[in-house]
Amino acid sequence: MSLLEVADLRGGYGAADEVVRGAGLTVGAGEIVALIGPNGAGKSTLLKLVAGLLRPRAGRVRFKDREIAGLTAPDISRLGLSFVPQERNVFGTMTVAENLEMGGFLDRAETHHRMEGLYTRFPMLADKRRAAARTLSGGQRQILAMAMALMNAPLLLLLDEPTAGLSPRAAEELFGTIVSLNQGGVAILMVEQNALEALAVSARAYVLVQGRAERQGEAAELASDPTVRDLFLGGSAPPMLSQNRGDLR
Amino acid sequence: MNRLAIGRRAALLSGVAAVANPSVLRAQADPIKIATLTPLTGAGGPYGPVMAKVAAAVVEEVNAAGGVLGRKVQLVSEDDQTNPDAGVRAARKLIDVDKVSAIMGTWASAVTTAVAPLCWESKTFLCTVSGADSITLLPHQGYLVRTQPNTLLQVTRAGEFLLSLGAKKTYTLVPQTPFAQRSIEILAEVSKKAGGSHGSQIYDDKKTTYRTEIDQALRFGPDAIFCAGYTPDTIVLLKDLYRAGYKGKILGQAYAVNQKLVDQIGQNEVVEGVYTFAPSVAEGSTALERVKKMSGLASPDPYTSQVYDHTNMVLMAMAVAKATTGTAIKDNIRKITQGGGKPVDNAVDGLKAIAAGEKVDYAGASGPCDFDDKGDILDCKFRYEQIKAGKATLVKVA
Amino acid sequence: MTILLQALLNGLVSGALLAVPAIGFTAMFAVLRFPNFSVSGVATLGAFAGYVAYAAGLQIIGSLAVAFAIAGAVGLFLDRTAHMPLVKQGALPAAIASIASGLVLENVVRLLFGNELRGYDRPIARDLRIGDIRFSPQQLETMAIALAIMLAVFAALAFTRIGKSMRASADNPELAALKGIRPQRVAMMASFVGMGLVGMGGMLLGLDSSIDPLTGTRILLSIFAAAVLGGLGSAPGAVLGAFLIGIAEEAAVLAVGSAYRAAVGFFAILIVLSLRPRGLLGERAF
Repeated sequence: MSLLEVADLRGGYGAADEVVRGAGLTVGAGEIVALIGPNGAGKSTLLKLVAGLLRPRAGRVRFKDREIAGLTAPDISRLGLSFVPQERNVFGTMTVAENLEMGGFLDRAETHHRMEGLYTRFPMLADKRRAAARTLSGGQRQILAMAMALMNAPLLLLLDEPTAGLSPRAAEELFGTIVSLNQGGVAILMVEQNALEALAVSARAYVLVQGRAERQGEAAELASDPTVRDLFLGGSAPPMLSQNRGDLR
Repeated sequence: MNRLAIGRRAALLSGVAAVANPSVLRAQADPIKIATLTPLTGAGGPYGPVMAKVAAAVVEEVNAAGGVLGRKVQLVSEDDQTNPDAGVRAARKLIDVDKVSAIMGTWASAVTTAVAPLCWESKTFLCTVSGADSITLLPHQGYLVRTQPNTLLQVTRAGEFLLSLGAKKTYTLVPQTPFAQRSIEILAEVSKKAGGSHGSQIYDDKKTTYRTEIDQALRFGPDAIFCAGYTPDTIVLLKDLYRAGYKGKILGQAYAVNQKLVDQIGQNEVVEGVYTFAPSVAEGSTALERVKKMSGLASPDPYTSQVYDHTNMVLMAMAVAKATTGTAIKDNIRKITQGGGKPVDNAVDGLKAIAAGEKVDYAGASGPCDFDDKGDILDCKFRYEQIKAGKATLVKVA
Repeated sequence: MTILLQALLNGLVSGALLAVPAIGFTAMFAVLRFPNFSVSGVATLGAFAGYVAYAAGLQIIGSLAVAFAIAGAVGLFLDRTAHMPLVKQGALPAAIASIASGLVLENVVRLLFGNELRGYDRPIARDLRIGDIRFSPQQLETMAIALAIMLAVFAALAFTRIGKSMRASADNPELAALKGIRPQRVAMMASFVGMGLVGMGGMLLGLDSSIDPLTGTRILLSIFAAAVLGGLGSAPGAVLGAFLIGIAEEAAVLAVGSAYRAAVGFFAILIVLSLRPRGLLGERAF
């Protein structure tokens, strides 16, 4: 049985605007799932609908066997679903430590304990704990954003283009981090422009076109599918896909 | 037939004393019509009814004594509602329908300003109790006089009073108002004439503390400070002057330095010795005694006293002119108010003297009623008081 | 020279008093995203609430607490009923509505207390002097209270969970919601505390002078100018702005005369908006 089940989801930003038009997907417990597709396909909007930042017009969103479509973002977070937005995903005016504390807002008793754990896991955050988050580099900021999400001990992380704007080297490191988080038992649903890399670390993937999941399947299968490659992945051969994947694992 | 009709406009009509002497009435032509236009409602509501009543009493006396130029006088009273629109409508009715030759008693400056053009265009004479300096600066061609002292007169008297207290170095603290600049110029002039010096500051009346303003004022080393503001800012000024250790004299407008201010400050030593001044009715005059009787008030307000004067002056001016038009009043009013002659305090005595060919000089309940060319009064009495132990005590009326 | 020092001291005193409502104003802007001009009416209300409490026998601190609670509660009520429903249409409709509710409050106070002036029944004492500089012990006391309030506000923002969640919400409301911080709750907290501070500011400013229904309207421009100068939404900015406006207003008395004091506020706003629209400290909530 799936951790997250989305079916016939519809919604967008305004009343007349429907970016997501009947999308459906599932994420199993502990699974990494990639959501890829062309610009404007509605990938980020879908995540926001699931996380409660946007209110779905129609459709079902089930998390832990509970209908969550229409709940507010704080209520959904409380259930163990953490969304890391692509941009503005840290409190720039607050220190790293304060950001983590806000990440654990819902789980006050565990805050101190989890912060120490994250400082051990990401020594960079410990070094910078008194620095304002806006002074961090792009890669450091993504780490902080994910660490904030982990403060809540989520079952499912929604990541919206975590590697956007990062150097290839930083992106690669971040994928490593994502994989290791997943190995810790957190399910991940990730939207990525870096489709090949995303597929490389994912178990399964959905291809979203015009607000609908057009294709789905094993990540490796999709990565080698010529139509998918032609349509969304730029058409060139995957750069040592399996090798890459092996490295990261 | 004494008729009191209060309709939608609360018109108060009194064809006074026509029945008092029917034989006289039969002998006469149409009555002479004059009007009061006072506020019976609105902010001026407390004053207007008494004003109209006293004007009617004057007319009644004159009619009882035979009228003016052998004709009865009819007083028409309208309500301006302390509102320029209502004032203009009422004035139109008085001018176009009743065809009065004089309108008396307009109270609010805004009403007077709105009504005045109708009057001078229709050659109707207007007597007002409004104080704004701008009113006599209107192009009224002489068709307007006012009995309320303007800024020049008030501030000149303030300056002279300070000189009389022996203050050589005076300082004016005045809020940003239309009269601020003028007040400073007048006081500077007054003290210069007396060989003194004068400093000044225009302040913002919205501040909650005037420490810096007062530091600056005290650097001038004044013997006396004239605080020309309103109650709220004057409270702050007086407190800060006390805190600063100022021990010289202080003079304020009585409308600002009043009992409310004293209570508000709540500490007598802060206001001890502060002087106040205000335009006064002609205290002790026989005319004022007559107003007391007519109004039934022990201490009539200045406006009631002034409208008493308006009515007497208008009727005597007609007698001198041997004509009853507004233009006749305009051309002759100063002949009965100033320039010497037999002193009179009411129209009945005045009309007799005029009929006997005598020159009269009217002195009224509000003051001597001498006018300059613009229509402002040249002089009136002021009441000076000093606060002692938290109470205003009379210094003098002069 | 003396007079300059004296003006500086006077400016610091009035700046400290101004800073309290300015922090409240800017904190509300940071969270609610519209300039809440009903601070004029709320400052008046706070001044009168404190006045009633003081007249009933409470000490200054107790009266300030009453001013805080009443101003905060009424400010919160107005925000919930009149302003927040309009914020969805943009900041301008809400700001205009807040001007209206400020006027309503002002007139409610007028209805209850009349137009006349009232003064806190505090003894008026001669100033103390150090050299040529004079100062009043009461003003120093009022200033110390204002500084203590500011310290308390900053400590709350820096160290308490509520304070931090308010800063988080001001920084990034969407992310704060994702972290489980209920925007509604933070907005209500901002309204209550912000307006409470404004109410205390009204009382502090009234302590040394007198109060009437226009008390708040008189200081509205200075509050707004201080907040804009420091950077709308920034609490330290509001403090900096308040001190600068306080000093500038006193200096203006010396330079161009007291009548142009109001121009200081407008001038500061003009300069900031044309040269540095984000204000001196930008939008740092803290």
